[in-house]
Amino acid sequence: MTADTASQTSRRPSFQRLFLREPVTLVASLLLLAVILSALLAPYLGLPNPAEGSLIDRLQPPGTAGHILGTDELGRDMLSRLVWGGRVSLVVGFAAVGFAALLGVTLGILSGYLAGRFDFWVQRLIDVLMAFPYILLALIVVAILGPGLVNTMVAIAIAGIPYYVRIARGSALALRESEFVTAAQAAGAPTWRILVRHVLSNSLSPIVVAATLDVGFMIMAAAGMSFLGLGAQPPISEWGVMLSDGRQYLRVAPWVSLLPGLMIFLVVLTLNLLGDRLRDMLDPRTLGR
Amino acid sequence: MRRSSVFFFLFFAIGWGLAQNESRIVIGLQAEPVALDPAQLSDYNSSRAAMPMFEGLVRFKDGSTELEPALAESWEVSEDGLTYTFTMREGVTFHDGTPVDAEAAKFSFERQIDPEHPYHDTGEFAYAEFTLGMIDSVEVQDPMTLQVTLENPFAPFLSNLAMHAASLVSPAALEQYGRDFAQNPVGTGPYRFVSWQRGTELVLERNPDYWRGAPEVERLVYRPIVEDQARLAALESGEIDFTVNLPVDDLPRLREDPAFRFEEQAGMHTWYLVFNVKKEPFDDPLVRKAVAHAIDRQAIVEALLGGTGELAQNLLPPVVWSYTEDVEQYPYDPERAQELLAEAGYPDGFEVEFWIPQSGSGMQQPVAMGTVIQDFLSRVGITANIQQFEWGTYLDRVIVPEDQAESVPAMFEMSWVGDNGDPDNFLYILLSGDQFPANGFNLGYYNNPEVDEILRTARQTTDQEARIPLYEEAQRLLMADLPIVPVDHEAQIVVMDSSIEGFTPHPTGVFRFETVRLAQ
Repeated sequence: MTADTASQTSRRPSFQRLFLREPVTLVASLLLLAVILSALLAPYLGLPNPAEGSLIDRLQPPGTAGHILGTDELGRDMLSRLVWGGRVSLVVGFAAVGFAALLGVTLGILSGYLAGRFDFWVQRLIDVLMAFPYILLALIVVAILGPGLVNTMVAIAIAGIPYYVRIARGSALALRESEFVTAAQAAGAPTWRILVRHVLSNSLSPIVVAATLDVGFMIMAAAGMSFLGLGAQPPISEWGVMLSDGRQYLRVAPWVSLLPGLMIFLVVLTLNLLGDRLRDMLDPRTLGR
Repeated sequence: MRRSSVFFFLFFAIGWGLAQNESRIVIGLQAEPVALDPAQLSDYNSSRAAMPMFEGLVRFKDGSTELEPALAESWEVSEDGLTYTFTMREGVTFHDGTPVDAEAAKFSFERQIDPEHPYHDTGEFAYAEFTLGMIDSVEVQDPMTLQVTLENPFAPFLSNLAMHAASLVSPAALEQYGRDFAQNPVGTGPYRFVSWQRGTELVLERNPDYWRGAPEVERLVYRPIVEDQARLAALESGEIDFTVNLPVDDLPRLREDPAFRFEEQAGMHTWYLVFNVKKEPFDDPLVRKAVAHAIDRQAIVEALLGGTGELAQNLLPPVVWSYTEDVEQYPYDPERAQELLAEAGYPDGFEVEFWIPQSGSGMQQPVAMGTVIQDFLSRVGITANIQQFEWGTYLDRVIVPEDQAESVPAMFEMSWVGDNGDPDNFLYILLSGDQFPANGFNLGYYNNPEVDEILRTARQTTDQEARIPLYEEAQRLLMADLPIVPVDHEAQIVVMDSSIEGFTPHPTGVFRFETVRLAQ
């Protein structure tokens, strides 16, 4: 208990120092906040229907009346598609991370804590998964499940599981030998309680950092799958799809590809910056500074 | 010392290369050719690379699908339309020196259609049944006389003999290479095979002994560049001299540029929506018509395709004889569409599966076109759920026998490019009741006995004048029942370096370079 309160008191000043006083982090947080807010509020922003276009107005450049960011190859409003696309990309990114983390952490903690034969087989399974390149593994899963946004999300999440298993298992392995776990065992606490109260709660910080960094990666992976035509199906606007469809018009209408590319770039960069800051914040070695 | 000798060698090599000054054309293909055996060609990239090396007994004239003699000098057809007797051209040899005679022609046909033939296992002959399946027997009467007997009279037979699969191949080369013939092709055409580095380039050189006279351009180099924008950049940087299927929106800019020459031809092509008539709601012609009225096809052709195609009023393209516009028309009329839907019992529309490929030969812009169609349909209450597939997978999943009709979606995209300029090659193979896969390409399982009867009579009538009214009637019946919605006929647009002169596009989509010159 004393360890907990100590870390909480020392966390607040470090939060200010590392998070708000750094202009880069501040800008990144505001940007991400803006993207998240616009994605959440998309239906209330009065934007044109992102799926409806007029072929007469196709490939209008940014700045055209009625279309601040121009239109795409089918005459659909780019701003509306970017906002709605952000909704899809963010949901896919966070949900895939959530799914991968939930399964991966559960498996990893069990594996590290229980050790023995269970650990052996889980680790062999993870070895097999890790033997495949990430995208190839995701492609195999989509080939089995069929193309589509939800299946793509499941695919990239499955491909992301090993990452969390390894992190959680590493923490659990160290924690199971620690004195407070031994004490809990001696006091007769049930295994599930030890796992949740002691092992999981004490391994959370590396997992949270990893997950933050992973959201950006998942957004990129989903965009990559959509770029290959396996993810979001028309007329859903998704940044990867927009990037892919727009490449036919690179010479005459570069904005159709560049804008979604820019959004992917910014959001992933932002998430990485924030993840890094979060790591600095939670790292016990930087706490004392 | 060593470095200077390297430089010396380099200068020497460059000088020697310049002195060669060989005339050549570098052609940008959309994908790597699959095989170069004329009996195994089923895609544009393979046929464009392979067909300069091959010819059949007859050939299509330049720029049209009319026939002229090629390796057969002349022929006679029996009264009953069953027996064709060909007199072979004297003095022609294959690129490997093997003489071209009746025996070689018999060999080229029988290897595809006779499962007992010793060289039947040298490839997969997807077009054999369609091109040569009507042959009952092939006989060599004397070394220069070939007699072909058909099972039934078949009007387009001579046109079929000008198709790729009926090309003559060197029996000696097949004996030497076996299955590897597809990588070591030997024919009689104006160009002969030099080398093929997969994924990099395929090189052909002119055949100095070509019976119609050696071509002027010495070498043809084919390079596969899959991405359209990359192929465009390659053309503009001079890496390639000649290509097709450039992004539509870039064409106006290239047209203004004097460095490039355009050659165009109305295509023997139709892009269409197929309805699976085995499935609700498209078993009802009213619903099919509602879909046709709901889509602004004119806007698709003008805006999205930038006028590279023409609006299709009919499954048959206008360049094919017997084409008529005296058929029911389906102008863009969403109100009419909604009336028809209400009449059919779907006042609030319905939801259907809609499959599209990501690319594919003849498919133009399948994703953009599918998305626009989806948008138009949504405005009359029809929710079309798009699913995209890679082209190979797509074909595997939509070309399935009738007993698996349930697995085929209610609606999907398809296109057809004519092989021989005969209306039978569109109407019969695409919509007759006995052409369900795997026999033919009636992919929506449309079955209309009245139409079938007309089409069968027409293909067995050898007098072309008598066939015209039959096909006109078939077109009227089909468009009144609308088993498919034709969207456009794509023009063939070839863009080349302005130094290339004398190129004429051919309706079958192959490239003919034997009459081409390079301006200095």
